[in-house]
Amino acid sequence: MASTSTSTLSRKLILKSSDGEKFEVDENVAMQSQTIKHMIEDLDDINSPIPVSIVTGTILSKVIEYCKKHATEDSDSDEQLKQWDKEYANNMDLNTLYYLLLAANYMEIKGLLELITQCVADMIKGKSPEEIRAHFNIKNDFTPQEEANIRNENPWAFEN
Amino acid sequence: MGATSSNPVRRCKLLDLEERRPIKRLKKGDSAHGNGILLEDRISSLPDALLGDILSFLPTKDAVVTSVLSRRWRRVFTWVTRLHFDDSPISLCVDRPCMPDSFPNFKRFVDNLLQLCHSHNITTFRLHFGRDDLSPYKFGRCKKGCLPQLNPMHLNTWMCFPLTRGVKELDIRARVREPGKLPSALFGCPTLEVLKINVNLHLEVPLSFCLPNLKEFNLTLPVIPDGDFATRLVSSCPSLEHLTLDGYWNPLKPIIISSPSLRRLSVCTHSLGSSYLRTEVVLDVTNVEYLMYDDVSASHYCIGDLNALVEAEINQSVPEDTLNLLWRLSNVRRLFLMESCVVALHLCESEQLKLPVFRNLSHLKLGCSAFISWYTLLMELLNCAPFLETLSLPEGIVFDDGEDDEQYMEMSGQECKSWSCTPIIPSCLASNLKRISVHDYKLTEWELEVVKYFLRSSLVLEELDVALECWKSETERISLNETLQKLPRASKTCSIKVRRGDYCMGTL
Repeated sequence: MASTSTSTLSRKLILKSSDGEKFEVDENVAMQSQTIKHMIEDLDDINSPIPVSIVTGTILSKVIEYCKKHATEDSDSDEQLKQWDKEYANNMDLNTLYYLLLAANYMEIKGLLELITQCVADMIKGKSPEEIRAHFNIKNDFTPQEEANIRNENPWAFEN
Repeated sequence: MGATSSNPVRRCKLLDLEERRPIKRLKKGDSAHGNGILLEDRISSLPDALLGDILSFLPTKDAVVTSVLSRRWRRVFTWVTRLHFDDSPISLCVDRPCMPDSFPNFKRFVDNLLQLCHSHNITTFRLHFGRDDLSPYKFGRCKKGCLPQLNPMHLNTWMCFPLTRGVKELDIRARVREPGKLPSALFGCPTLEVLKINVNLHLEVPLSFCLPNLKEFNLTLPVIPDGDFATRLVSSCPSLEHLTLDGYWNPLKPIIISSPSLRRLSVCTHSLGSSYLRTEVVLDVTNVEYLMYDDVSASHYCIGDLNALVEAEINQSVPEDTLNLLWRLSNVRRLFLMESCVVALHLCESEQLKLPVFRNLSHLKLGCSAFISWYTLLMELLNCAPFLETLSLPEGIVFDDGEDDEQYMEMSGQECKSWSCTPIIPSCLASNLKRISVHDYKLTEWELEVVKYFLRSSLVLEELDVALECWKSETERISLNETLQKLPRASKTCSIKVRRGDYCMGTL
């Protein structure tokens, strides 16, 4: 990792969002995305914009904010970086989290994907099914009898 | 790296989900459904594998709760890649009869899950049940009848489930009523990086080991097999960095551990007494930074370089061997000598007691509550630790106040005299010693003289922390506090804290 990022430090790439917004970023920032890394390998002309087809400009700017923070490895301690991650995720509303999750998954940014999945998991943790439904606005399409049957399948999960 | 690129299917699927509607922006602090905006249920439209990733962060029980949310969520939990089974609400019981009653539900739950589990990739597998070691005071361990009844074959099936699914971390903590054997397949799983086993099962030494990627191995068993089990295990794990072996280890058998990769090594042998001596202890672990070696039968040491060592915790009982060992540990920054070790040093004749200079030692912890004359020993140790900053006595200074005991009275008298009259001040007291903590304080004259000495002689002391033994009253605490606060102290900045004791000792 480290060797590729130092040798390519000066190169710039242009990322193009699904709604046409363009972002110029250092190559080592963009390379945190495995998807982009693979795209560059196949690319003849490094100067042409790289399409990030399913990610909007608003979301892509947030993804880049994360990648920039994590590209400079030595500037922060692990502890500071964790704190930054936490604040970054806490500042997102549910909708943004959802799109970020899709973006991180599509762009294959392992750290970001883990951060967001953990963040969503924390929203589920310790909540009753009713509370989870309310939080994510999930509509219960089971009949009361069906729901009771499911609870009976795994009493361990629902009783304690 | 493998994990991110291993699932191209998931990526393709996502492209279909493309979402082009403008995002409804919420103000910071609004909850998802607050502020009058009704948001769509977007999470339910995520692909199974991604939802599985989310649920993998939860205990499996909580993941299964989502099966009742809606039809979409019915089987989402089967996509988790980390399994974490824990029977904790019931195993906390000391004598509660509910344990055997609830266990079948837990068992059914685990069985269901293992049958339904979709992922061929289980990275983490944790199975914790039947624990009897959670009682904070260690008074009330579960009786045997309180432990869960589980057929040994059944338990084997559970433990082996993740082995063929690329598991990296396997963590089994289990106590069963009728212990069987630990499956030897655990020792032949090439994907394992972390292996934690704390069970009351028997281990038959496997014929071969295949753990090329194992970095951390904690093994707690009733009996560690003797013979060359540990030696072979360690030598066949080229990546092993952390090793803990905890269990009864036949005191007559040798212990031979040789590994260049180890950074942390803990060996706790539960040997019963010092009447047996081990024939050989070979530790060839050049890169170890932390060494815990608790083996009162230890003898005939052969220890290689320990130049990387930072912290050591030692318990052993043969005086000459203790001295030999301490010479090998002279680089350490933190040193904890446990009960038998302190007694062993106390038993050394004073002309015999030749210690190395611990040039790096900043924290010395002496855990001993037996009747020993602290004066000679402590002065000797302090003299050899010129840069000591912290001195801890987690087990206190005296065993009890033994007022009726003649031998105690005599020793106490001598100690009081030595501490109150001595003109000696080791150099660490003059320039480095900042913190002293004494636990299990019994309110004796003897202890008071030791405390007086340190307050009088430590020029840069910042903190004296005294914790009374647990059954002393608040009135006794106040009274001791008053006494100590009035004592003359050489360091103007020294604060004195007197606390009531905790039940759990040994954590300073």
